[in-house]
Amino acid sequence: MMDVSEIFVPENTIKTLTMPEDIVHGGSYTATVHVAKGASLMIVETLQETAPCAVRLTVRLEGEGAFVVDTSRYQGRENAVLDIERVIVHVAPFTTSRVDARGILHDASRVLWRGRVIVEQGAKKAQAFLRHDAILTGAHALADAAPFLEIFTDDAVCKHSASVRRVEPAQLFYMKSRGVAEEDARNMLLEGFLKI
Amino acid sequence: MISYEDRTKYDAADEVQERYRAGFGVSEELVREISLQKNEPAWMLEKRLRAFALFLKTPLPQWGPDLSGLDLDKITYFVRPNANESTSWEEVPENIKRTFDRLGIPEAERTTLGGVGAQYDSDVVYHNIKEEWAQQGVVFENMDTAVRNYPDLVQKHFMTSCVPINDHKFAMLHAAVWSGGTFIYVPPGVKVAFPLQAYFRMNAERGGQFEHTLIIADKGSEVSYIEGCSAPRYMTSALHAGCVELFVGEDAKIRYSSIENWSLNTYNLNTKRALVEKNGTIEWVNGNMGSGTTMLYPSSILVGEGAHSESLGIAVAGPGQNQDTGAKAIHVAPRTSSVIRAKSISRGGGIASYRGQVRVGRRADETISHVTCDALILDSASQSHTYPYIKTENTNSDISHEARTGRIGDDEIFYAMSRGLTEERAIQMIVGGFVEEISKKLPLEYAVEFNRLIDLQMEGAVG
Repeated sequence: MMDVSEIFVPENTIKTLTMPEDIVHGGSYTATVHVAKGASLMIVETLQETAPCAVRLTVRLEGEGAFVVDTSRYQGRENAVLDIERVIVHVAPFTTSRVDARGILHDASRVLWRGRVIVEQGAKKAQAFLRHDAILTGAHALADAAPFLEIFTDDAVCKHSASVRRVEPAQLFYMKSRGVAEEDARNMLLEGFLKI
Repeated sequence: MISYEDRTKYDAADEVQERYRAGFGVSEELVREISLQKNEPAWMLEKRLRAFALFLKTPLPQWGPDLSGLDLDKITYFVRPNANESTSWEEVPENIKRTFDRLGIPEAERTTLGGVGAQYDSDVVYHNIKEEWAQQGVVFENMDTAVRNYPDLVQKHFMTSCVPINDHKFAMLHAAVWSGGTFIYVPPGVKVAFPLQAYFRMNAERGGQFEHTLIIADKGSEVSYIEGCSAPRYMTSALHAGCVELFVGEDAKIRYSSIENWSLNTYNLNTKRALVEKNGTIEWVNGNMGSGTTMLYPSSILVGEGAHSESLGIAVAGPGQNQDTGAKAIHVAPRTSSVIRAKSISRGGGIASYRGQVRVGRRADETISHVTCDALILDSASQSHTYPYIKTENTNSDISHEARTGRIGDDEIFYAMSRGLTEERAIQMIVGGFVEEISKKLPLEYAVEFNRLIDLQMEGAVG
């Protein structure tokens, strides 16, 4: 079942959103968060999925100086299909957004990750950073990532980065040379990758 | 410094006597007529007709820039200038020569470039290759001639495995009405030291240009090819739907550079693709400055182990322009690698987009791919977008993408101005540094022309 919600962060307040607990329990949700002037929004998302799920979150930075930090960590197992979407809209000047999403795909799980940062013409001096990193461990896993930037003003600094990586053989070798078994070393490195 | 009026030298239309000119629109009769006039073998006509049937059934793409202004029924699909192909510059008719002179082509030829093929509307009028290369078996031919003289090579490679005729709507249209272009074959082990070059120019009003470039670099060979494109300005919209197919054999290397400067009413919907075999290397250098709407994504399909692709692109979007460019790398085989560097400048309300794709198949172990996009936005009316797609099915590969969008820092301009430069010159200098990576990869005359074009584009960027 899909749950749709609107969340408002009033002027000069700080709100922490822990997901999925704060929105709805279970697989899928859609939410729009409106962040007012001087307000800060912290999003902490942790997903451990074994079944299909869809998460669509839109954050609108509507007031001057609005700020969002979005930290997302996900793991897919078995036949999970994670459909994750983030839309960050910079409407007002001096707004800042940081999206940091990381995930590991085990077994035959798949992720469809879509990120979109839109900086509207009025959002002068906006700063945006969008990143998504994934590691594939499952032989039949798939990562399909597309972090978009759409910039309609010149007076903004926007960056994004995306990667799909493996467990670095050199790091693995280092751990093994210190006497850690390969399986343990791999798990430690994966755990480290997800550390916030 | 060049004055703004100079841009018109690329936009001016010449009055050229045409030998044959088709009416507006495309039809089966026209497709047959083109094939008949070119005296083509039956298999080519059959291919054209199959593509045309597919074209009629296929809708316009629903993604990317708006193509609603493009009226496919108001375009002349086939025009032949009144000249047969010549091998010496003197035989080329005076007014056609004048156009090329204004674009600086003969100079490029004189300065030891390997050979010249210039496409004026639909036929290649001038073609030359250094005897030395011809003796080693290097073929540098007009595509129409190649169909007749090298049927085996052409039939095997022409719109088959690299860009099939059913690839997308404009590839279908291209396959149906293609005309002219370049065919290059480099035999095994031959390394062509000087770049081969061709210049395309679209002159007929509402003309379409559908040139086909086919380069086959056999085992262990090396070749570098440069293409420049310019079209004069007309009031009604024109279409350029070319197709470039590159076959990079085992251990072979192709460098393909193109500077496209079509006039502002042109829709530049080009297909460029390379098929790279074991340990082969493809290098793309692309500059897009002209045309109203561009959709161009040079692709590299890395099918052989250890194949490598490098792609360097720059797009400049001025007023009224929508530059939707990017690059694709499809990793099929293990230990393949790709590097994509994309730069864009948007100003005066122009839209510059990077749209790219990296795909890594399950078999493509130990693949490395890196994409970097840098965008400069020069004023608040302009836009810059980045749409990277990454799709991976392999657990043992390393794919990364990074992009940055911003404007020229006030402190940078202030520094340059404190050293005595005007604001405009300071911006030109900073932009020049931004695009240097591309101009460095071009041969000297092209680098000069490229820098001049960038300077022209930047005129009036201040205030």
